[in-house]
Formats: sequence, C-alpha cells, structure tokens
Amino acid sequence: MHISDGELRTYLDKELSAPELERVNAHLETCPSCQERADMLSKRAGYIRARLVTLAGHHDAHQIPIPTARAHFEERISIKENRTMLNKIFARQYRLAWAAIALVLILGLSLAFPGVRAIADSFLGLFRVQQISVVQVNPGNLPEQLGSSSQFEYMLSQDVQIEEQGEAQKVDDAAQAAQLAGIPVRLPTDIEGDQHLMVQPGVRATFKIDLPQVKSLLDELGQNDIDLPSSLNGATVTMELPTSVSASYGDCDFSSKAVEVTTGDPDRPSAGLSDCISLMQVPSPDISAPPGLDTAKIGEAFLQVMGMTPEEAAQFSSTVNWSTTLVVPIPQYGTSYQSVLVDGVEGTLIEQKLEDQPDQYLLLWVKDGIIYALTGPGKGATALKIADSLK
Amino acid sequence: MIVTSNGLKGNFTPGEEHAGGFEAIFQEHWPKIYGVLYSLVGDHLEAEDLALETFWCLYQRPPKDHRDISGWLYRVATNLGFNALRSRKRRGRYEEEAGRLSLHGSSAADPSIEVERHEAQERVRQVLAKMKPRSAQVLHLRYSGLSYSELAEVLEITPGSVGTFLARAEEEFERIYRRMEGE
Repeated sequence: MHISDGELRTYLDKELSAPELERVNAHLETCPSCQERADMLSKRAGYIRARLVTLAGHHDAHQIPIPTARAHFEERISIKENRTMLNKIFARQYRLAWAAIALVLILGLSLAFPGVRAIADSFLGLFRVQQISVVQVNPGNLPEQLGSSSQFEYMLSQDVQIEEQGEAQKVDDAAQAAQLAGIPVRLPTDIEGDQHLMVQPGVRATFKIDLPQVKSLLDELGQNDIDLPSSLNGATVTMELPTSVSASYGDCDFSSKAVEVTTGDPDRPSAGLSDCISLMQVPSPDISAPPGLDTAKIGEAFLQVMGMTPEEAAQFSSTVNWSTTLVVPIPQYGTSYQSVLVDGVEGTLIEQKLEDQPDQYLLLWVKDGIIYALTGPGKGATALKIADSLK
Repeated sequence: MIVTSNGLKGNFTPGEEHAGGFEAIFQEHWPKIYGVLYSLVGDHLEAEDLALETFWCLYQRPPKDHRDISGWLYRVATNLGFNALRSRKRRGRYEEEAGRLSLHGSSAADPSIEVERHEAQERVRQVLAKMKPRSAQVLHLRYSGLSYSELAEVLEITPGSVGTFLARAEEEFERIYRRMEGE
C-alpha cells in the first residue's frame, strides 16, 4: 500500500513515530512513485517556506512588555464591560489614580475634595505618621458612585465641620516659611525653574460618626459586607492637619490644583501638572478618636472600600501598624513602587506610567516627624536626585 | 472587580488543572500570541488590539477544559487575525503601509529592499486571506514554529491528521499564489 500525502508530509517534517518512520523508509526504498511524491511535497514545502518566513521573525523589535500589555488589558476590560459608560469609566479610573496621589500630595489643602479622599481620610484616622506603606488596589473596583453618592454628600455636609486656620500665603524664602509654619523648612538645591513657596494654613476637621448612615452609604456602594465595629457609632473623630509648606518649580498652578485634580478633564489628568515639580512638607496630622476603637478593623474597612476582598484586606492589615502608618493606595496597573533610601531614611518611590502620558513620580518619606512628598514629571532617579539636594 | 492572585473574579473560574488562573495564563502566553498575530497582520498596533481581544475572549468565555489553553488561544487569535486580514481593504491598506515604510525609512541600508520585502509579505497575507480558514491557520502556525501536537490542539484534530491538513494547505497556497503572480 502506498504512503498518503499526509504521512509523507509528516515524514518530511520528521514528526513520525519511530515504527512509522521505519515503515515509510522501507516503503520509499522500493516505491519510485511514492518517492516522487515525497520529492514534490518537499519541493513545495520549500517554496511555501521561502514565502511564509518573510512574515516571521520580525516581531521581537515590537514586542510589548507583559506588564504594559497587562495594563492595556485592564483598560480593555473596563471599556468592554462599560462600553456605554466609556467616559465615566475612564473618569473613575483616573480619578482614583489621582485621588491616591492627591491623598498625600494635597494633605495640606482644603478638605473640600469630593469622594475618595474624604472617605479615605475618615477611615485613615487615629494615627501619627511614622512610616509609609503602599498597598496596590484595582481602581476598576472602586465603586463608581463614590463621587456622586447623595448619601455621601449629605454626610459630608451634615457631619464634617472644617475650620481653616487662616489663609494661604505666598512667601519669599525658606526662613519666612519656617517662621510661619513653625517647622524647619528645607528646599532642594539641585533643581531648575522659578520657585514658588506657599504656606498652607492648618485645617481642623471634626467628624461625628453616624454608623447607620455610614452603613447605608456602604450599602449604596455595594459594600454591605464590610464589618464596622458598633463602637464607632457617635464617636467623634478630630483631625488636625498642621500648617504645611509647598515649594513648586516650573509650570505650576497651585491655586487651582486641587480643583484640577478632581474636576479637570479625566482623560488628561496630568494637564497642568506635568511640568510642575512640587515638594510638600508637613508635620504628621494629629488624629484623635475615642479610645478603644479597633484601628485595624477600620483600616480593613478602608481597604475593602478601595477594592480588596475581605481576606486580602485582613492579610494586608495584619502587616501594618495602623496607628503609625500612612497607607497609600495606588492603582495595581500602570503604577509601581519600591523602597528607596532617601534623605538618609527609608522612603517610598511611586512611579506612574500611563499610556500617552508623561511618567510621573511621587516620592514619600518621613524624617524627624515631617512628611515629605515630592512629585513631578520623569523617572524616579530624578526624584531621588532632587530629594538628596535638600538643604 | 479585583484581580486576585489566583485568577479573575467574575466570568473566569480557575479550574483545578489551572491553579495559576487567568493571570498566569496571560503572563505565559501573551508574547507568543502577540508574536503570531504580529507576523500575521504586520502592524504592531493591530496585533496588540487583536491579542487583547483574544485574551478578552478567554476572560469572558474561558474554555471548559483548561488543558488545551494554548491551542485554544492560538485558535481564537488566528481566527481573529484572519478575519481582520480578510476584511481589510487590501489594496488601500497595502499602499498605505508601503507609503509609511518608505516615508519613515528603515534599518535596512537600502530602503527599496525594505519596500520589496514588505510587498512580498503583503502578497503572502493576501494569499492566506483567500485560503480556506483552517488551511491558512495551519500553514501560518506551522511556519510560526508550532509542532504537530500543538497544531493538533489548535485544529482540534488528532496529531496523525496534521500532515494531511498541512499537505492540503500547502497545495492550496501554491495554487493561489501562482495564480496571483500570473495576474
């Protein structure tokens, strides 16, 4: 019996099993017509190969790094799952990315900042910052209603009292800033651009917790499995944010920055910020609440609102000391972080790489009771160089 | 929705035989799925788009049996890729591509060589687009380096029939290619 074309083709590709190979070899030795077909198939395969290989082998130069691809995939999910709400979704994604940075960056600015930051602040309570820890969260999981929740607005207006202690002031030099703020002010020397120094007054915020209301808010956000201790009800939390000093360089617009972060075009969150380098220094906020409050429990609730499962939240929570650690949520994709040595202490460098946007860094560290937050365009190395030039 | 370390919540339920879940599959298979699509469509943006679409299909409607995940991905990716090729307005697209190449220049010392190479690639793509889908699939994947057993997974056939498919596909390719050359 003759050998089929398929078997001959397999033979040419050396994909036959040993017994098959033996049989085919034996047959070919005695069968000129099969040998002829094998030659024809071999010639054709060569003809095809010569043409098809022109397609192969050139993709390496264009290969997309897996983390980039993964980040793009995350965007794809958002688009697919919310095709009809495309803009909203992007707004939501970037809002959290920026809110996470803003959370720290504009600690010293007004509390009149909707959504994420306020709820974060209220949960972050009860601590004095001695260290900073980063937790990666998935912004896609942030409840979309957070920014527009009527419950939330009601809570803010009803329950939070904010007293600002004075007006923001522009000052000329470090000595003047130090005098007004009551902290030693240090400024980078290795930096270009005009310097703008602002002293932001302290803020005192008082928040009385209405537990049923918080629970109905969480229900509205689809987070009804968050377990809040009943001791929270009626508790008064006071947060004192000390006077802070901001130094900015380059193309910055500090007066409208807070507004821009929250209400600017969400597709271009970096507009107006991309060429601005700014350094903020502020003593740790002082937060007090009735004793006996389980801070770890509240921290876990906060992490769940930020998108973690209860198990993940508990796991992370067990690794930090909530009374001394400022937990900074950063988006899981497009953002990376690492511990770095900065200014003689251990700091955290967060780098954000989003498509079609300039890279941004946020460098955070705590030294001698002062929180430093340095942000600007470019790579982390730039941030470290600037930070190490503080005088 | 949160992406957990052991897979995706929602539509993707990691099977026992795939403890790594979606995350691990993505990490492992992205480069080759992207690569095979890039060689097929010749445009990195389009290739990425199609690769993302492939993984979206996996995320959305994962196959019941995770053992053949690689074959499944290749199958979906090349189906999407050939659909894209076939729906291309070939002539217009081809000229646009060639124009872009000659404008931007290339790493080759002689740009005309690069343009020629590009023309050759486009001709191969046009032939593949005219072939029966499964024939085009087996041919492209075979010359992208897949083994017979991998091809069998993609085509959902026994490894013993891969040679038959391949021989037929090569015959079809040569016929259409020569006819186009004669045109």
